[in-house]
Amino acid sequence: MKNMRLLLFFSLALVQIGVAGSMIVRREVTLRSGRQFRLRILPVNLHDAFRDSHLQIRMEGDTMPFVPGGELEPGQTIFALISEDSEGFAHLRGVSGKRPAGDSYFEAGVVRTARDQVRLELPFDRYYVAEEFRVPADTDGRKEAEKQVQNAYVMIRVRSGFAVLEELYLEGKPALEYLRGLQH
Amino acid sequence: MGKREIRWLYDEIPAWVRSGILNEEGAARLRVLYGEADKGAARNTALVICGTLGAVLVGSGIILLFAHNWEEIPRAGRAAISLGLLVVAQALAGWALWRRKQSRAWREGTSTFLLLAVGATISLIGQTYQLPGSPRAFLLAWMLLSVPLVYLMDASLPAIFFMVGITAWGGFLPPEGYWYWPVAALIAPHLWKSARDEPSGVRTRLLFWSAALILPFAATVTLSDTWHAFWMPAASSAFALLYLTGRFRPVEGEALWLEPLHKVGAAGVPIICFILSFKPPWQEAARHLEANFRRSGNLWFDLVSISVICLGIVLLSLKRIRARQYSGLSYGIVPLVTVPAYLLARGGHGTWPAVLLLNAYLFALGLGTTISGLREQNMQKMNAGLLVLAALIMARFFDSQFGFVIRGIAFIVLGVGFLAANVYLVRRARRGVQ
Repeated sequence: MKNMRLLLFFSLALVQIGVAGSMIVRREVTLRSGRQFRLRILPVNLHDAFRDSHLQIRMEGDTMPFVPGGELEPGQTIFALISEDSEGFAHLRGVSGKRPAGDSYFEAGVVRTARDQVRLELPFDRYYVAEEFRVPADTDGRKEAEKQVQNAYVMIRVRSGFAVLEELYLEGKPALEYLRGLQH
Repeated sequence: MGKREIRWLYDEIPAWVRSGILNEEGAARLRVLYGEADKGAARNTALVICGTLGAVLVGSGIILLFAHNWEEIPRAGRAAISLGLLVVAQALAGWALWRRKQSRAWREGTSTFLLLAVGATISLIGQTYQLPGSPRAFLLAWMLLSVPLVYLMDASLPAIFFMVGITAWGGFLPPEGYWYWPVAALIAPHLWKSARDEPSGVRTRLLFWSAALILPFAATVTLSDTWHAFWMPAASSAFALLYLTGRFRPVEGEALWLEPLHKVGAAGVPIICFILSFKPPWQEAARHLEANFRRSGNLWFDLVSISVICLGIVLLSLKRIRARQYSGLSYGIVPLVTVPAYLLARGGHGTWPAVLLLNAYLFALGLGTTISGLREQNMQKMNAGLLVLAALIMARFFDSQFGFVIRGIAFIVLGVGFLAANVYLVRRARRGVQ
């Protein structure tokens, strides 16, 4: 009985490590061998964005018309189709209910639908940052405006539709480097 | 005889008295012979609390030490630390199960530490790889990966964490709130086993206190809310069900785990009715009248939920009526007030009928409890009834246009009433002693 209990505990421990480990392995494999895309995100207000423990990432065009012929439910998984422009930035060009061919797409969720538009739940909607890098609130209107970072984009890696955020860039610099620069 | 055996004996005595193997006198003699088992129980409880607290503090300290330099640690290092934390917690729990199986403090402490480590590991991996925020998926994964610990380690603190965590998950489910109940039921065998093995034990009471506090909350947050503000009849009915299931100061032969259910119900019914005796909650129900059915809800689930609760209330009320125990029925009938009040507010009859119904019920409840307390010479009950009356009267005075003088006089009258009733009971009790 005691041995059976220990055996079951050992099995549980393996499942726990398996779940945590698979989270790591899947992302590491994607980060190492996935296709890289640069996606522009909406301007970031540093004070507002870091109010929680993370920066909320919203993309240009994360609300778009969906392919007619299928009902979409909130929470449903769909596929966001990507195309790249001449500057090397990727854009969302549509969504599909079926997994497309090729590697220019990623899995996303449906937040809500209204009329013929669908709002996407991105698999890279936040960037965690330590408290020491957060930008404090400031009542000075001019300084607030300066904290609005216009040039912001994310680097993602996609493998078989699974997307992982590799880095957030603010004014062309990795986010932490940019934030460290603000402190000096 | 060891403390463990004495506790077992004390748990068994009520059943022996009930079945006639032992009479009350014999039970009292046994208790005198074997002395207090509670000292051991208290020491064990203290050990469990200290052990768990220690484990949680050490774990949190380690996480904080790493968190201080978290940004500087390379991604692979962060992933290794996240997994390492889990492995250390597993090793501790495994060792406790192997070498300290008899020690409840070790089992409770290490299993709670492991449960927290599972949550911390998933969170740290989430931060390392910038995972999107999905509390619903996170809570479910965390709780399902942890609930087997309750059974493997025979530990109740992880069971309480599970009840809280899975109810938080339930809050994200509507309109699919029906998934909550089968998942939450995973903990039911542990509650049942504790109530059977240690009907009056500290951990059983702690478990049932937690369950009693969580159940009304769960019954409301999982509603699909297709009918807006449906929580009002649902919560009040859930408290009434708890009240009727429980027992006030269980008599010899009844388990102490029934007490928390009664106490939470006894406090919950007047509190929720007090809130509903104001106009704004009903305005909320009426305001969304035109928005009904616009949400993609599951009305059938809400109606089934409240029907099951009300069926339980009816069965328990009938049981009490057959046993001629009428005292608690005034609490049990609360759905007969809140459900029609809700339907009236929803039916476009304005908020006043609902408000009047709730005020009349609360007044009757307070008065009935006070009189019942006076009759039974139960000071706690009488004061509870007076408190309900005083709260109701004060609330109505504050939201009315009465002047300061009238309010002042009303408060004095209430205060004098409190004092007079208490003096009366104390004198009667003294006369009884003499």
